[in-house]
Amino acid sequence: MDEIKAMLEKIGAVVDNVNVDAVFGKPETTGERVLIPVAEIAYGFGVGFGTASPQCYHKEEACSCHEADEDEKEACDAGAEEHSCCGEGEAGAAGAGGGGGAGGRARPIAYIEVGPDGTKVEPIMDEQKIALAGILLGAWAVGWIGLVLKTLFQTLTSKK
Amino acid sequence: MILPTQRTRVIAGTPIVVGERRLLPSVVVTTMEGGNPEKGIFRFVKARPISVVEEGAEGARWLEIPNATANRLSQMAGIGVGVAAVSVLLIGLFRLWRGRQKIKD
Repeated sequence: MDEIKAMLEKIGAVVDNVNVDAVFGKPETTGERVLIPVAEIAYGFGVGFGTASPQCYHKEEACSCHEADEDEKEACDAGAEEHSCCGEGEAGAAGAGGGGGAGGRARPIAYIEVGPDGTKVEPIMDEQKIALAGILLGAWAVGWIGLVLKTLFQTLTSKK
Repeated sequence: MILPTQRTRVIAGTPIVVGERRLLPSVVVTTMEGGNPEKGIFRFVKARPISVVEEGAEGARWLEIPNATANRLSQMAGIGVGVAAVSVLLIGLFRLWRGRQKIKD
């Protein structure tokens, strides 16, 4: 368990060392101008693990067995490996397992242009995302306009 | 279960020297972490550039780095809410009008 904790601390330290240089890229010279790419970065990780052993898993059950006498309960409380009140059917299989995952993403959001006429920031738009949002917005607006027209039509026809 | 915690920090980066100009970048770093050390943990880090301070012969100048995509999406969301609000208002007015017409008849 200590090894796993140490490993987690090491992974956490790596993630903590988020470097601003990863956001601001290496300057590129193009003619008289220098371009510095700027990106938004995101990354993360998650790990999970668990262990189960028969004596631990069934400790409470073993200690509360009706058949268990005082000696067995004391042995159980003391952390004994086996309990005579635990039958074969009661004892579970020992096991341990774990898993984890990590991922990252970098998306350009702008570039800084340094030229003879000064420094300026040029934003970069994610046109694919904007187009998708535009389609959704169009569908949303058409739906609402349809509802309004339907209500208007119902109002006019009921008047007649 | 330990609830996730979130931290936000503004970090100044390594100055970038371009000719006579010196650019000092700054980044806002948001960290979210949580979990139980006995069962597992997760950590998520997002770094977004916010500005660059340009230092040159003319003095220092602050340059904002806008997130154009997020701004445009926010505008579109605002338009969507506006369309819905106006539509609900119109539908309500039409129904009120229809109700009054029925009472008159």
